[in-house]
Amino acid sequence: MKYKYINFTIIVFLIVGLIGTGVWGYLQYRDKESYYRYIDNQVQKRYYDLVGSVETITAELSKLMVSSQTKENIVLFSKVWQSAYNAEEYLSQIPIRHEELTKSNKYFNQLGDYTFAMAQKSIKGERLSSEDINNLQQLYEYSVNLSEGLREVKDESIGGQMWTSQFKQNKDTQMIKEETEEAEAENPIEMQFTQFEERMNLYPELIYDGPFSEHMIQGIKPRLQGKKITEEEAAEKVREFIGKDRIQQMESQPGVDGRIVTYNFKVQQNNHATPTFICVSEIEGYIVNVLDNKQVNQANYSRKQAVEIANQFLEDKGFKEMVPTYSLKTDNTVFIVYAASQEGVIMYPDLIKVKVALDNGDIVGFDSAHYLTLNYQRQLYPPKLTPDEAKQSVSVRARIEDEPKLCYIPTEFGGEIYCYEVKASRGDEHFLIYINAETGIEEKILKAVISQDGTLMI
Amino acid sequence: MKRFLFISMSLSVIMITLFMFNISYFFHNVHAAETIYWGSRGQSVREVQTRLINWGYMQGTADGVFGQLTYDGVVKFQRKHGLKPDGVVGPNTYKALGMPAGAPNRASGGSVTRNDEKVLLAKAITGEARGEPYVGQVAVGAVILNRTRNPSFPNTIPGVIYQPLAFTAVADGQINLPPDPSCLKAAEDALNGWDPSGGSLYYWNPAKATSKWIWSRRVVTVIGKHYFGL
Repeated sequence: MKYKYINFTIIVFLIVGLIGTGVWGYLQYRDKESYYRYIDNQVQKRYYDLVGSVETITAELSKLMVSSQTKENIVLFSKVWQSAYNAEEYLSQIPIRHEELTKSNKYFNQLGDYTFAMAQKSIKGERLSSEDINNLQQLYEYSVNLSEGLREVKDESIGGQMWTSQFKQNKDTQMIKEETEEAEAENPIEMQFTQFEERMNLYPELIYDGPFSEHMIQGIKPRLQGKKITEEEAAEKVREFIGKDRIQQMESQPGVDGRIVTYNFKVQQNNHATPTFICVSEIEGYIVNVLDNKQVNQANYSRKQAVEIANQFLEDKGFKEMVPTYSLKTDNTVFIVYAASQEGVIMYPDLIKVKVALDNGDIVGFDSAHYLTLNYQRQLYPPKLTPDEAKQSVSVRARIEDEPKLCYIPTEFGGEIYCYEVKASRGDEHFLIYINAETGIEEKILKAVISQDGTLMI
Repeated sequence: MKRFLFISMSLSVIMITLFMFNISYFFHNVHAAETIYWGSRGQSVREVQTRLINWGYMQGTADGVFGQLTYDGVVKFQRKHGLKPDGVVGPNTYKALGMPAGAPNRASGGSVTRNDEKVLLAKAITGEARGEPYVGQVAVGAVILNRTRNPSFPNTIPGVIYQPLAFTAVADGQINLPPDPSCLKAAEDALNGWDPSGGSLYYWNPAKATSKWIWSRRVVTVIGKHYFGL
C-alpha cells in the first residue's frame, strides 16, 4: 500500500516536471521564432531600401540623359552618387554569398565614383561629352535590368520568411561556403543576383579619375625596373641589412607574388624572443618590409632620440633626403612616417615607415612599399602662386601659424597635386590646409588630433 | 513493476538534462559587466591602474590606457588572488579589486581617436587568426583593409567585418572575445600600412576550406596555415 503511494508521488512529480519542461520549451520556441522574425524583418528592410535605391538610380540616370544643363546635373549626379553608395551598403548587409555579389557591389561602387567624378566636372562647368553620355546610357540599362529583377523577387517574397532559411542553412559557414545546387534553387534572390552577375560580364571598363576605377587598380605598378636576383642573393641582402653577427638563424619562407614580387625570410636575431619577418624584392633586391613583434617592456629612449636613431638608420641604408613627418608612440615603440623630399619639396605619396623599440633602439619595423612603388625624380618648377597668395586662399576664420611649404599630396584618384601646405589653427584645434599651387583651390584639409601618444591626422 | 521503474528512471534522466539546459539558459541571461582589456581606454582603466599601482602590482602611471604594464599588473594581481590570469578585468577581478563591477567607461580625451576601429580590427584578427604567426595576423588585418579599398567589397572596416557570411569568427561569435595583445599590435601594424599579404583579398585554410570556388583564386603567398590570394 505504502509502495503504491510512493509510486503515485513520483508519477505526479514527473508529470508536473514534464509539463513544466513543455511550457519552457514552448517559450523557447516562441523566443527563437521572434528572433528569427526580427532578423528577417531587418534583412527585409534592407532589401526594400536596396530596391528603393536602385529605383532612384534608374530614374535619375534617365533624367540625366535628357538634361542639357550643367547646374541641374550636379543635383542629379549627387542623387545617383548617394543612392549608389547606399545601395552598396544595403547589399553588403544582405546574407548572400559574396561571390554572387562581386559584380553588383562593384557596379554600385563604380557608379557612385563615376557620378561623383561627373558631379565635380559639372561644378567646373564642363558639359558631358558623347562618351560620358554613352557610359551613362550603359549604366542606365544595367540599373533597369537590376531593378526589374529585384521587383520580381519582391513579388515572390510577399509570403515573407525567405531569409531565415538562409541563416538556417548557413549555420556552419566557412569563410565562403559551398552550398548544394538545390539550396541555391530555393533562394530566388540569390538566383536573381546570379543572373544579374552573368549579364554584368558585358559591363564596360569605365575610364575616369575615380578612386575605385579599374585602370587605377591595374595602374599601380612599382617603378621597380632592373634585373632579377636569385634567392641566395636576396638572403645576402638580408644579412647585409640586419648585420651578419646579429643573425642566429635564418630560414626562407614562401614568397609574395603581389604588387611587388618578393623573397621572404624568417630571421631569428640574437637576444630576440620573437622572429623577424623580412621581404626582399625580386627585382634589384630592395628590402620591402620588416616586421618584428618584439615585446618592449620599458623605455630607455625618448621619442626624439628614437627619431634620431631612425634618421641615422635610413641614412645608413642609402635613403637620402627623407624627412620625418609624423610619429606615434604605442607600447614603448615609436612609429615614424618619412616622406621623400626633393629640393625642399615634400613628396607625401613616397612614404617610408620605421618603427623603433625604445628599450635598446632596435629597428623593429620597416616598410618601403609606397616609396618603391611611387617614388621618381619629379620635374620641379616654380609654382604660379606665391606663398603670400596661398595664405590669402586660406579661410579668414583660420589663424595661419607658419610659412606655407611646397609639397606634393596624393589624391584619392591615384594621382598627385602640387600644393602649398599651410599650418593653421582655430581655437585650440590644429589643421593642415593644402592649397593648390597652380590654381589656389583648397584641395584638402587635415585635422590634427594631438594626444600624448602622438599626432593623428584625419 | 520493473517496467514502471525503467520508465520513471528514463523520465528522470530526461528531466535532469532538460533542467540543466534551463539552468545554463538562465545563466546566459545574466548580463556580463563591462570588461576591460588590452586596448581599452577610459575611467575604469584609470581606476584599475590606480589600485594596482597603490598596491604595488604595477609600475608606471595611471594614464587610462590599458597597455603592456597594465596587462602585466592585472595578470600578477590575478595570480595572487587565485583568479584566472588572463589579463582581462571582468566581474571577478573587479570584485577582487574592490570595485563595483562595470563602472562606466567614459572616454578620457573627448576627441576622436579612431581607437574603436583598431580594437574592432584586432577582435576580428583574434577570432580569425589566433595562434597564427604574427606576420599571419598582420596579413589577415591587411586583407580586411584591402577589402575596404576594393570596389567589390564594402567601403568601411565594420562593413567588411560584419558583411554576412564573410568571416567565420563573426558567424560563431568569436569576434566578441577580448582581443589578444599580439592581435592588437597586428591591427596597428596593418592600419599603419604593413601588408605581408601582398595586396590579397581572400585567405583560407586549405585544410578546412570546402569551397571549390576559393581554389580558383590566384595564390599570392602562404603564411602559417593560411593561403592568401586575389
